[in-house]
Amino acid sequence: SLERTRYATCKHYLCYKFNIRVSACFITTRMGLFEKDFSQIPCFRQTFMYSISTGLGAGIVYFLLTSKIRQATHFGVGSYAIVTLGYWAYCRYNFSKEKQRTGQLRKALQHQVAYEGTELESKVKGQ
Amino acid sequence: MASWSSLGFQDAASPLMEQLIFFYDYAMLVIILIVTLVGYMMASLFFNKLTNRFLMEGQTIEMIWTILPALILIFIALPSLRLLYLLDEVGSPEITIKVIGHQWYWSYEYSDFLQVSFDSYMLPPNELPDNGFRLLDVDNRTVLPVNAQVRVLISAADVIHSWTVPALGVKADAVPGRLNQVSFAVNRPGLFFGQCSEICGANHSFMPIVIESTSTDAFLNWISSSSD
Repeated sequence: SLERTRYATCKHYLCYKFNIRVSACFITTRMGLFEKDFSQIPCFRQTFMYSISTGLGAGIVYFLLTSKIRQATHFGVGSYAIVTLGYWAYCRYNFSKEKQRTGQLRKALQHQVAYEGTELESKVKGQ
Repeated sequence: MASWSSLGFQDAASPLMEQLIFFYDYAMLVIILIVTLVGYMMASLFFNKLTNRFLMEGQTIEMIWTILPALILIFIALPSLRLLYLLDEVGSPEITIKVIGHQWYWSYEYSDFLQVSFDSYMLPPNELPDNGFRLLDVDNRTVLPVNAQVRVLISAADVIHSWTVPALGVKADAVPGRLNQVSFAVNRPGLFFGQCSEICGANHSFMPIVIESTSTDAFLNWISSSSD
């Protein structure tokens, strides 16, 4: 993993006082630009896999058909950009929808425990 | 928490901040792609030998470079508006606390239960333990239970201050004579730090905010001991 812990042991005085581990005790940071692990961004990997391969493929095919280097480069870069934007929007939209559904399901399961055996449960089941 | 040379966001500690980070990642990729594409076009212009002294109009290209950016903006605007309205939702808060900004400390009131109120001053360096956080630690932390929806009503007693905790994705001005409301839920235990974000005088940089989120039991113990 790209995470790095700056302090190996707890340095905050609260840890000694209460013998608890608070997140401030371990200052973790990540390697990479803006301490961000880009592979953890949803849809990042698929988007760039598809867009880089599409750009390369489209550029090579265009060159093979026309033998024009500059235009083939333009075509490749343009396809890369369009596929990145298009697939990113599509993938993030689906991710957002799925996340919302998962949240609703989790909430429903939590409430189900509270409503079990009550009138509300039988009403919901009846529907 | 933030340490020196931190440029990016802190790890999210509330669902709202998670959503903000998701939207940021989404929009930033679009922005970086546009910048790359325009940079590529500008670089290729350096090597372009095409000239047309009689160029008057180009309807097709003008349509493309109008419609394409409009489409991109729509794709950015839709999730942005969704997030904007999500941030304004106040979903049945379980706890309400009042925060009042003073020169130069914060005071907190928990009026839901027994009347608990306290002031929160920054720990000066001479009182800071060797392993404390300089300019961030306070004498009385704001304790909140984990996974509880919290409503914070923010105001000020003298000049304008601003109450913010970056890890929770909240920031609101504390304006005298006005009540601002923010709502959030902390979804993990820990300490979350913030600093006053509106210039308010000599010690503006020395009035931090510390939220300590703990289990409900620990919170109730703290509340009952504080009211005593």
